[in-house]
Amino acid sequence: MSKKILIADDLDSITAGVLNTLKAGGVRQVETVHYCDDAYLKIKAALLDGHPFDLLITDLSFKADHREQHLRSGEELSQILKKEHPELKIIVYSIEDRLQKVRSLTQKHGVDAYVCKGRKGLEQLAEAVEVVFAGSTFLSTQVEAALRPKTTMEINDYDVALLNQLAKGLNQDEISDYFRKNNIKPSSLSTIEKHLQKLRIRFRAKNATQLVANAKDLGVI
Amino acid sequence: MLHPSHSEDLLNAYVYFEGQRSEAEQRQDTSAMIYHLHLITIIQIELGMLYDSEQSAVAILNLLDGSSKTGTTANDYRSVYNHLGRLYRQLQHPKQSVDYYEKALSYASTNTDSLIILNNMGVIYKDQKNWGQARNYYQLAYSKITPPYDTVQYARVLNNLYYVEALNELPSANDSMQKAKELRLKHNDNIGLYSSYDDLATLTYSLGNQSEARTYAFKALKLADSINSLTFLRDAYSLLIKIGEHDFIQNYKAVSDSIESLRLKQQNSYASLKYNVAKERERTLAMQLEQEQERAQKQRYQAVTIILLILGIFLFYVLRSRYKKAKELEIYHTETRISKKVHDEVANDVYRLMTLLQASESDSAAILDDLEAIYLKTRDISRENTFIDLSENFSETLNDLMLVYTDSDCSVITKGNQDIQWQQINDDKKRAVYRILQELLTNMKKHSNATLVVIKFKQFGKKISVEYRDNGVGSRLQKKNGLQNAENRIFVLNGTITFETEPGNGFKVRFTL
Repeated sequence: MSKKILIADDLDSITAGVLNTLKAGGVRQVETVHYCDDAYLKIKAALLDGHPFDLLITDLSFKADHREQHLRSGEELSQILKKEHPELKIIVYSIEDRLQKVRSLTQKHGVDAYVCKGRKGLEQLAEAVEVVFAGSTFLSTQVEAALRPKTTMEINDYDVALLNQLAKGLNQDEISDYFRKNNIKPSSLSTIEKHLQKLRIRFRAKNATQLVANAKDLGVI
Repeated sequence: MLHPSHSEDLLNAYVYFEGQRSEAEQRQDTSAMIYHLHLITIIQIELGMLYDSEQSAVAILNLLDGSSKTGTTANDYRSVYNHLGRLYRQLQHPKQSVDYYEKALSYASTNTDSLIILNNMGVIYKDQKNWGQARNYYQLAYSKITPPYDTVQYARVLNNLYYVEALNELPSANDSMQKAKELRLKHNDNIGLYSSYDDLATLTYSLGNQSEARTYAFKALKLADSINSLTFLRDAYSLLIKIGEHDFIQNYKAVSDSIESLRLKQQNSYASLKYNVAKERERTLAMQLEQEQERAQKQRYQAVTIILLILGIFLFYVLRSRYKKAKELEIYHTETRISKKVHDEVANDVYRLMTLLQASESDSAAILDDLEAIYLKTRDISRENTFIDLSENFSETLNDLMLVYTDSDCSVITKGNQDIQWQQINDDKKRAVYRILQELLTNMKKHSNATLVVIKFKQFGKKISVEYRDNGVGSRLQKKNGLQNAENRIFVLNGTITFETEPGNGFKVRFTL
């Protein structure tokens, strides 16, 4: 692979692991830095030389030391680089697995891949490098949920009203009628059916009876 | 005041000086009181309120008698006695008048003072046509005169003396009177000049020189007219009538009447003014009393405010120190908890792995598995204590926390999280909510075997209420680590927390902060 890659991480042991993985994947041109500022300067310099980097693999958290840094985290580094050079691919390789962080890095700053450090971290990193160069994005399995649409377990008053009617023994048609009469929207049969389906999944219920029982046990109705 | 151009001026002056006197009385400033009383007696005599004037004069005497400063009071005594002499002359008590003038004389310290008083005494005798005595006093007054022989006082004494002399047919007397007249003309002393004309007219008339008397009398009339004083005008008409010009009786009567009506009017106004002044004084006293009461009340309020303030500050410090102690306790608990965790969960595992390695012959995959487990534990400890990013949307932050604990074995369902206005809740509370839920969910994962968790959020203004419920095995209530921490956090923020659990009946926690 004739790609040029830069690794930014303040721990040499980790950098060594990444280097091994990349070399096993056939990458020849790899450079490493310990500071975000150095990474930024190297990328800028390479651009001027006419041999720009194709990929940056960076950690998020860098230990502060005696050297005063302008860019103090991989997040700041990614943010500014993606703004100035959107063509540069960036993979974040971090111990951090909070979904919100992953979401903001990938969606707000446009980072191409997010790989969690861990037992399978290096394997996933190798996969990520390939996927990214193929022009796609990659997330470790631990944080995949970050980009799943509307992954929320929230229920609302409408759901509670639905459960209450169900608890009274009404079937879907009767609930639809009742909602229409009491001006509760939406009241169409198909919507009610969809909502009940979702509630059954959330409350791990096989049927309406179990759904009502579970909701009652947990004080929802 | 001494030369009023308008009939109202005297009354206005009276009101003004009475006010000044009243103020001086409040300050207990005796000399100012005496000064203003002097002016008041003069106004009262001008108004013809002779008895009031006498009262004021007596008041001055009382003040002087009560005053400790002897040196400076001689002048005041002389002035009051002289005034009383004048008063009694007008009251037609010549004997008392002379007595007061005698007293005034005893306090006189300068020649000028003496000659004025002596002259005044001469006038009394002249009134009584006691020419001998009048002449004696005028001569005494004359003897007090010092050069230059050119002053208004000199003219006055000169005129008076030689008027008496002339009556005694002293030949040169007329010349001296003429000289006095010229002096008065020179000094523009209209009032003195009038008296010269009056005396000359009277004198020449009594000497039988009718036409000359008439000339002087008309000159007097003309002067009275130019002085623009009804009293002088009346005297001038009286003089004319005295020397046989009976045509002026009508004029005399008219002027007398207008003087009388004017005097009546002034006296009425004065009476009502005096009444008003008295009223005003009462009102001032009442107001002072009220102000005094108000001040006392204000002081009471101030005292109460200060006491409240001190109590408030005291309370603030007590509460702050309590808060600090609770904070310190929380930090202590957190530290011991982390240390215990590191010891129980990480150190033990590492030790186990070390002994395993010493036994050797184990395959690297198994060691790697063990190491990963240790790594994940340290990561969890770090995550439990890591900083919570409050700059992001907190509702999402919470949702992500729920998602971590939602897997194929368990669903964490929330209600109301998205309806809470998290930006209205302060950061300490948000942090506490996050940590408490994190601890509850960690406990749930470890011990409960729950398959369903429902967490309900409700907002009451700046307060937040959370109810946690799961369908796990429940337990006998034991406040182990996590729950104790939750209680500490709630206590620091003055919130409340209740736990409900029974074996086999799930776990229920409700907290408000």
